[in-house]
Amino acid sequence: MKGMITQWLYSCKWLLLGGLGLSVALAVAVPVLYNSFMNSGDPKGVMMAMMMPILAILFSVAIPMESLSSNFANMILCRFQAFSVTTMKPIKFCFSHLAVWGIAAVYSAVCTVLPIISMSVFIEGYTGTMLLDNIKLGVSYIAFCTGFDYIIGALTIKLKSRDKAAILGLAVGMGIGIAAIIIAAANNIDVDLMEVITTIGNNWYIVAGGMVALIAVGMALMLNFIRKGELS
Amino acid sequence: MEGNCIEIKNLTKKYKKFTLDNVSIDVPYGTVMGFVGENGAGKTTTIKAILGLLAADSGSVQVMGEEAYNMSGATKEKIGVVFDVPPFPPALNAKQMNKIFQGMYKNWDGEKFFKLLEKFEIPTDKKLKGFSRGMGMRFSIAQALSHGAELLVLDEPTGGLDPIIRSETMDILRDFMAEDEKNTIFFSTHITSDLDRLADYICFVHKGKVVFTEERDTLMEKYRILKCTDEQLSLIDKEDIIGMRKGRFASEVLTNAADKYPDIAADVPNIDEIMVYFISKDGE
Repeated sequence: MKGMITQWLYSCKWLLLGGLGLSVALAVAVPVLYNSFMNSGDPKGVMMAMMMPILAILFSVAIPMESLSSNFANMILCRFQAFSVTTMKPIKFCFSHLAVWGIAAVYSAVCTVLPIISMSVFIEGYTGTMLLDNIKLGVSYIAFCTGFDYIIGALTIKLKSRDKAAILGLAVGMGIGIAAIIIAAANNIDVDLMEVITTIGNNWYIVAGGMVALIAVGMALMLNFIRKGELS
Repeated sequence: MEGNCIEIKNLTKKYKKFTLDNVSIDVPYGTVMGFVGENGAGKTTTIKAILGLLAADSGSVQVMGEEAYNMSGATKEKIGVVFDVPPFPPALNAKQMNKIFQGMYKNWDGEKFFKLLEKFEIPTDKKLKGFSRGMGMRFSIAQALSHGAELLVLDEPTGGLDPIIRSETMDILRDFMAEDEKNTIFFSTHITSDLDRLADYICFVHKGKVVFTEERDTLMEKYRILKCTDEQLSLIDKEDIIGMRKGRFASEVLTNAADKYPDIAADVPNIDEIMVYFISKDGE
């Protein structure tokens, strides 16, 4: 496990530094831009200002996470993964993957928190419920990304291609989402997407359960692919 | 040390276009098994099964007394692995890889690793993607020999190497065998001259099936190629014909019963010829 984490750190060090740099840049830029847009008095500017914190969170999470997952996928494609299994049991290999994702998730959380702290200090009124909601949104996003990317990592072993795995994963995810919307519409159920996102973000059980379920699926897939000899 | 380091019994693994079919191989401790066959014969699949990189559909694979797919970490620690293509991150160098190996093996000996790299003339600051094939292979072997391995499993370790490097690689492996009587090597190759240099046993696999497993010395003593006329061919018992090549004026027959035909000219075959005759059908 330690070897895999070291390999990932060596491979991703510039990305890790770059992501942290981006987070610091957002922490500086977002309050400045927010206050500037709000003070402009222009309604479009005010709307932009309101979106700034959300965009800051998504960018400070999305870009580091996706960069890390892509690089991690390169590590997966590298036959180093097959070599790794010659030094540990397959189940330990799966948990080693998870450990790397866990570190990536903590790193992403740090990247997210920096802009949030900055906003809470420098943006008047950005405290309390708004701050907490944004933290929850960020953490929920990280949790689901961790689980989802773990599944894509498993699929990459089978498909031998990060791009194919990502497209398949996205297609399945979007398919489930679209199916849910169609079923809701067919049953005349009104779905407010923002309310759904907020409800999920506020309910730690859903977030934790969703992440655990996604990781369990990813782990089962990974073990199955190893058993069949797909790792090479 | 008595007993088998590797025991493969009736191993079967099915893929869409290939089946490893009922393979059985025993590799005693302290011996070198040369695993030979053409490309696509099933060598890498068998090696994956030994290393726990796949689970058999049926049969069993035991390594050092443990089931291969569920081997403990302590047993995996004793296996040095060399893949046909070095599996290490290309953007890293030997110094960085040393740190990674430290985290992967409890018994990692960094001092020995760097000594071996120096002996093999491998630079420690150069990224692995800049290595030639020979350098990459020697790096892999240095890694395999630096964590107290008792079993080396090598998948085509000399493929693509020039004769000098190949010879040096064989020397390194001989040194490994001399270190401890229980040290064992299982290596796959389709370069049969490597078998002459190192192997105690030869296992020939063809289209997913084991054709024969023999001691190398016995192999060379046991088989003969009989060069015979059509008339002489008619006198040879069909059960004594392992493989045959029919020419326009004469035929060549591989047999392990040459003593029964003292009047027919016989040549000593090399390993390549034995393999070819074993898989030849009607003498084309």
